[in-house]
Amino acid sequence: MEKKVQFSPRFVNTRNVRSFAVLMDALMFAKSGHTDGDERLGCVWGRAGRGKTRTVQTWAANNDAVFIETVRSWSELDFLKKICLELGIRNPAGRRGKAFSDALDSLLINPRVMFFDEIERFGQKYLEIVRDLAKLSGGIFVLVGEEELPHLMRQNRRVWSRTYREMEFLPAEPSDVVSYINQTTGLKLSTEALAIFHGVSGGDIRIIRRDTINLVHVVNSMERTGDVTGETAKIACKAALKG
Amino acid sequence: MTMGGPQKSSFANKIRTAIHELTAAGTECSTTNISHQAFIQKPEDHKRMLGVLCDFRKAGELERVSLGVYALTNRKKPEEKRQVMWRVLRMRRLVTIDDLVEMAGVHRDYAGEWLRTLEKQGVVRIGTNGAARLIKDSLEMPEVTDNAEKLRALREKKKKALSAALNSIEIGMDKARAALKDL
Repeated sequence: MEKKVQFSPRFVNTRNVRSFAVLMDALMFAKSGHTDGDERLGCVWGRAGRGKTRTVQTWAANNDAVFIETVRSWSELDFLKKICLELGIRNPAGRRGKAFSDALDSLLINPRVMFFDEIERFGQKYLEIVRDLAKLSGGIFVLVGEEELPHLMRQNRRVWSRTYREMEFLPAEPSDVVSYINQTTGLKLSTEALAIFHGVSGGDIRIIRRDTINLVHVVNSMERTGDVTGETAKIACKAALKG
Repeated sequence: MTMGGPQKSSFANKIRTAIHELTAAGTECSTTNISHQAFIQKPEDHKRMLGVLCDFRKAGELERVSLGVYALTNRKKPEEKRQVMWRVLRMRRLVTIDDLVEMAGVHRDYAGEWLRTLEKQGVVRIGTNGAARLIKDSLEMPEVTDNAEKLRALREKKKKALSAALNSIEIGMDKARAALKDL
């Protein structure tokens, strides 16, 4: 009996993941005092679906970093309270000044890399808080967001001058599609299949993942063996339905 | 059998030492390099070495970078793995087993077992689609007593097996007594 193809979830080192790792290494290197200057801020941006949050969360989880996903309804105090809570302060103060100094004290005692997701939704309001924390604690702060984030940071000279580097999450390349499908399923794509997968996804890693899972079902149900053909890829991507 | 375990002077350990020496700088190594480093000269020993490399790979000690090229995996202790899973759960609030496998690099069974333990402790609620939602965020990772539970289950199983055996002996004895009476 033919062995069934399985989808094994795996964190694949795509071009964006590698670039992000380089950014983090460079920030850590700068923090360790090997370089001059006090740039401690990082900016990671890109369109939705390129795998920013997942990459950042994976790095944060494996490196004991703090990841804060902002909520639209938060006030400045809520934002500071969340920072305190994530830094291990069980009962954050109910005043902004105290909450800020508590967070700062915690960062000075136990420095941790901090990530803020979708901070651009709040305009300049929270950027100033992050800048103050970065300046006073000397810690590493990475802001993650969509296209508006670098513009917003550039507008604020004090923030931009402290930004070590910005990194854009680019659309997935054909080589990323090949790596992803091969590493998660063991399947190999023909040139035609690769063009279909890449074209349909538009470089969106979420769509690549969805189509990879579809591909496994299609290959198993059609009992296909060998390289994935263009026809199988079309069925998996539902490209045939789109015409 | 792990890379950090006690080192015996077996063939496998000879290979292991060679890999450690070659990958000390965090680099990869080829089977030819390993063979040279371990002073393997006979073709049958080379074949045996390939088998050992395969075992290491199955045990998760090594990963194959490409054909004939290997690298040491970044193995984490179970406690560290749980911490990573806990961080992923806190960050995402809603996770699937696939998320934990992908982001924390753990085995599917281990992730599932961990989530079920947390569900028993009332920390997460597992939905019908298998996704676990964090319902009690205690900042610190809850103490996982999965080993104790496993041992309890094992003891319970043994107890049941023994009592079943005793019952069958008793039934046999009764039958024997009845047969003796009839004689």
